[in-house]
Amino acid sequence: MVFNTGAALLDAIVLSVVSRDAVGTYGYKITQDVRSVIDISESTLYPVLRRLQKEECLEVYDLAIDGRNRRYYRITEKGRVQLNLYRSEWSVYSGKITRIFEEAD
Amino acid sequence: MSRAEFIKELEYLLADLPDEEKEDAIAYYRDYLDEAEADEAEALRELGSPERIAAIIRADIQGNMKDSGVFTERGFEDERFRDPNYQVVKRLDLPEAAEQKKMTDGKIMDDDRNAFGGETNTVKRKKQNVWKIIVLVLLVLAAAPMLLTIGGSLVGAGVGILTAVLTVVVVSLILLAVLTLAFVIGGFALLVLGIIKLFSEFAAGLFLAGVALVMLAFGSIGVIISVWFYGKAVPAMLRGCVNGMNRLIHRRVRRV
Repeated sequence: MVFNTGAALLDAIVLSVVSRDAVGTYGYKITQDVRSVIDISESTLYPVLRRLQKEECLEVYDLAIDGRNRRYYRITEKGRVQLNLYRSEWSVYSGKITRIFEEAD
Repeated sequence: MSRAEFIKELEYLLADLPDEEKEDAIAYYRDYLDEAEADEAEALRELGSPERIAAIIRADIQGNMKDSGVFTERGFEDERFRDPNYQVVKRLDLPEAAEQKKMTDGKIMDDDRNAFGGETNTVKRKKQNVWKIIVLVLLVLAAAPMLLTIGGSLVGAGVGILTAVLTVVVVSLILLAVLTLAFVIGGFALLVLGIIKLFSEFAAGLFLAGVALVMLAFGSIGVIISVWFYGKAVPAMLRGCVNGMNRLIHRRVRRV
């Protein structure tokens, strides 16, 4: 991957990863899923999750699993709106980029 | 670094954050390592140093993370965290760091006090300066008519003397040149005439030749004087003039 991922794009990726599970998903899994798409360091995801949580795009709840609590992240209504905004922006942006690349042939 | 050490170090590094922030971060990483299970060592290695994690958490809390870093193929990159020697966490919670901080604070306070004292001093000095300037201006205004008269006559006298000197110099230069030329040319002409006359009228010829020789003698003296005058005296005078002007101008500049 030679292209950098800006903060907004990372937010969008995290939001869409979390939104795939209706019941929500947990930190380690989110990290692995995001890392399957873009190569980011594991330690950078916590601040992103924390920020999205503070901005009320994500909500957290604890679920008891194997005798201990696992923290789950779930997308909120606000988060969904934000994700839709990101998706439409992305399709416009990537469409333009793709078109200019095709015209270059 | 073991998991327990990692968590302990992170707790320590985040100790001064608000409890909610600290507990949330610790819970996240504890949870993260729980989930990693078999890959715990790998996960710990990938997470990097607790210092770096703490620095990233802090930076994000301070709200200056959004535009300062980018996520590249090598992971998150932020100029501030690139240098391994970068003091990502100023360990103010360490005893020696606290001491240091107190010391620098003390120094700053001292500096402030000094600066304040300095300020009052400069204010006083400025006030004095203002009074001096006012008195000076009043004096100059009072003395203006007299100064103007004296200055005018001085300038007039100076111009007069300068003109006279220049005239004398120029006239003597021209005179010297003309006289020397006249003596030399005239002397040669008369000498030729006298020698020719020697054959017809011996006495008159001898007289002419004698006068010619006298004239030539004066002419040679003129040449010698000219050589000295044009070769040495004039350049010396010019140099003197230039130096004098320079000195005058510089002094004036210094006064201004």
